Amino acid sequence: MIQGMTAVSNDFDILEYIKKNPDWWKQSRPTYSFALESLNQDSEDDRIQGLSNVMLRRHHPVINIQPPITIRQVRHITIPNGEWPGHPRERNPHAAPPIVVNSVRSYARKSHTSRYWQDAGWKRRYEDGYQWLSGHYKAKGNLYRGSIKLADSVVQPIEYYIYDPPRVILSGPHGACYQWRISLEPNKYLIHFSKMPADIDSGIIQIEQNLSEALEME
Amino acid sequence: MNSKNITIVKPGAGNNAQSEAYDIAIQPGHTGKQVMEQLKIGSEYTLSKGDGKTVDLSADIFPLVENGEKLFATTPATVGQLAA
Repeated sequence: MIQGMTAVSNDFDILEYIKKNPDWWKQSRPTYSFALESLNQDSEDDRIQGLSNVMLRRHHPVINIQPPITIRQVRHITIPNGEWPGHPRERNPHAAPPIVVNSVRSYARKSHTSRYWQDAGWKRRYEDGYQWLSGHYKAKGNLYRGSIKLADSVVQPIEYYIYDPPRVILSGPHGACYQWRISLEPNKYLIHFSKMPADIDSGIIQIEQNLSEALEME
Repeated sequence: MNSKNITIVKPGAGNNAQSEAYDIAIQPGHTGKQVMEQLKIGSEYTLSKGDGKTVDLSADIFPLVENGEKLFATTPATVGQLAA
């Protein structure tokens, strides 16, 4: 089975597939005629096998595409393996085998492929005219309640807050970056970034790394 | 063949920006750096498993991930500044 988004395999046998799908090959062969004729092998089968799977799969029908995923691009990329003459793997048999990219999906936030903050259980809410996320930062098996005020323009950056941060981080080298302000609840701290994250996930992950490092030093 | 299917999620910037998910198959010996290069994800990105765990891009990631696991490509951010 090679049709579909998840069916790429290094065991893909193009000759077998052609035998089972003669109509597909009848339509596709003209695309490869120039390449086939440029190969030195005697038989047509050998020449077909000489073509890269990437070339053949580029025109391969893709089925089973379900909304709401938008297929932006389907690439079946293989790092050339040792079967290709002159490839570095021939010179270095210990080189890593091919990485196969099954698919590249571009999706909006309602897609079934979730982002980190969604996987981590952060929930969206509206308050004071702003969008907020509420959830927990995770570090070394501990949960720290947090909230994130989402930016409503390029001028206002995302603001990350944490409730009751561990004492070790407040007394550590990053302590000054966890800022309590008079306008905030007593246990709520604004987290200051000297280099702002470009997206929500990057900010959460950076804070979690920061907390983990601090807890390791404890 | 010994391989694992994993997903690399590269978040888009902004609240409603589109993100990208790359479904890939890796084999023993693949490093995070190779994966990022293969996916043409910039060298400024790092890979994270969440829960404060980052992935060493120079290491073989095969034994570090489970089949079906999702990794997150994130941009660098710095919490505050180190005290003098």
